[in-house]
Amino acid sequence: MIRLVGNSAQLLQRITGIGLLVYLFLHVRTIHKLSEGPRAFDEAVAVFRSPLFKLGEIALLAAVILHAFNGIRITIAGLGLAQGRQKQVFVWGVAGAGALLFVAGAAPMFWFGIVRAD
Amino acid sequence: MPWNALNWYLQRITGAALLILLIAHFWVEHFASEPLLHGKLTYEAIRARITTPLWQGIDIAFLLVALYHGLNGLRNIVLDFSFIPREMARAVTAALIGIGLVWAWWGIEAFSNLS
Amino acid sequence: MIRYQVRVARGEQGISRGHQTFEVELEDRMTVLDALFRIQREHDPEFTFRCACRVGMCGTCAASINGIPRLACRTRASVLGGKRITVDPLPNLPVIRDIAVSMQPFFDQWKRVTPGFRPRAPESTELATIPEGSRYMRLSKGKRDCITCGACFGACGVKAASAEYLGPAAINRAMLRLIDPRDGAVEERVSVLDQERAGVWRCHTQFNCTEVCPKGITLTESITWLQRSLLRKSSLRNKA
Repeated sequence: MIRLVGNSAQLLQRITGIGLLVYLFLHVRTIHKLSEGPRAFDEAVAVFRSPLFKLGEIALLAAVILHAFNGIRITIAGLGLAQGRQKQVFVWGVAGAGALLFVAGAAPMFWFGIVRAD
Repeated sequence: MPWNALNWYLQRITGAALLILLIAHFWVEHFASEPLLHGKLTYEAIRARITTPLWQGIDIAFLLVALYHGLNGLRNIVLDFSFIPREMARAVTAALIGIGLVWAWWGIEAFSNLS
Repeated sequence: MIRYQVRVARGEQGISRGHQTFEVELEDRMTVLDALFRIQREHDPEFTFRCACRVGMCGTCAASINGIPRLACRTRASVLGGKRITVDPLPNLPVIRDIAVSMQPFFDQWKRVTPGFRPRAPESTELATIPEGSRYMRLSKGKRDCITCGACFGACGVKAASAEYLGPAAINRAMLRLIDPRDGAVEERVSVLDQERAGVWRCHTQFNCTEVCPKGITLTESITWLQRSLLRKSSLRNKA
């Protein structure tokens, strides 16, 4: 086994990428329900109110942040920038900044969506 | 045409576009819309926004860009594994193009039904 | 003297026989290569590994040490932090025996990019020079010292799944030849580099190769430079 951060980055990029594609499928499905009238829409939306779905939304946020931040890293490196400082970019640019944004986004989602949901 | 290079570039350009579209999408859905802000995820509230031509245009563009980026990404994963024979990789490419077209039509149809 | 537990991979011709742990005593500044020699001398004369120069210039002793490909002769046991050291053969290459691998797949890819110098004007009697301040002088800095040790090849996550991929070292070599104003073999190299499943497009910017290169070559930078250049192939054809 190779213990280098790049491997985890690529693995996460693949997993989150496939996950987001699955989410896109479900999302288009919901919009389709919307086009079938209020009844069909309300049935579809009822699922969104369950705490499990809210947790899923938080996971979605994590997937988007990971995929986007690592994607920005790949694009910047692809332009020939920040070469030779890849370790700092991995740790601070992707993991650090991503975690910060995730906490900022997930905390209100957890509080208002699950703990204090009506 | 340098197809492989263009494909590589487009993956990055669509990635950047998705980032902008996603932030806009997220902002509009979750913060800027008055009824949604107060937790009223109703049919009428969503329909009101989704039937404006500008938002339909942006949403359809979002869908198409996301489909290219996602399905091309999936294709790249397949191409990474050299034990997959050349013919099968080509069949996967054809299948993904087909899936993309059907998927895009499916989404556009939903919008056309609404307006 | 410090006592180390050195856990080494055993096996031959692709058949793994797991790991075996040996107790080895090393002086303060001794390397992992010294540890391998001690195992061979003090414990098992059949234990197999390869080395030649012992000073980090030949690239023969590259192995996976504590999960990271590096030169055994340039890795001091004390800097690894810990009394347990695990030595595995370089990944992505077939094992001949224990730590010794065959470099065949590495050089198969290496040969594909026309690694040798192919003069643009073979008949010319004038001395071919590389002008000061030229593109070659600017871009080749820090990229010319490859010792073909295969550490990048073993560390590459794409190589782990793809037997077809050229690998970082061969691509870096191709770049050096492409920017060399004296070299003329542009088209053959460009067509190899531009292949969708074997060429530069498979690089996913993991930086594993750059991280492990014992010569500090910025391999990922070379690969991304070629990715950008292949959009306008004329920039590679134009040698001026």
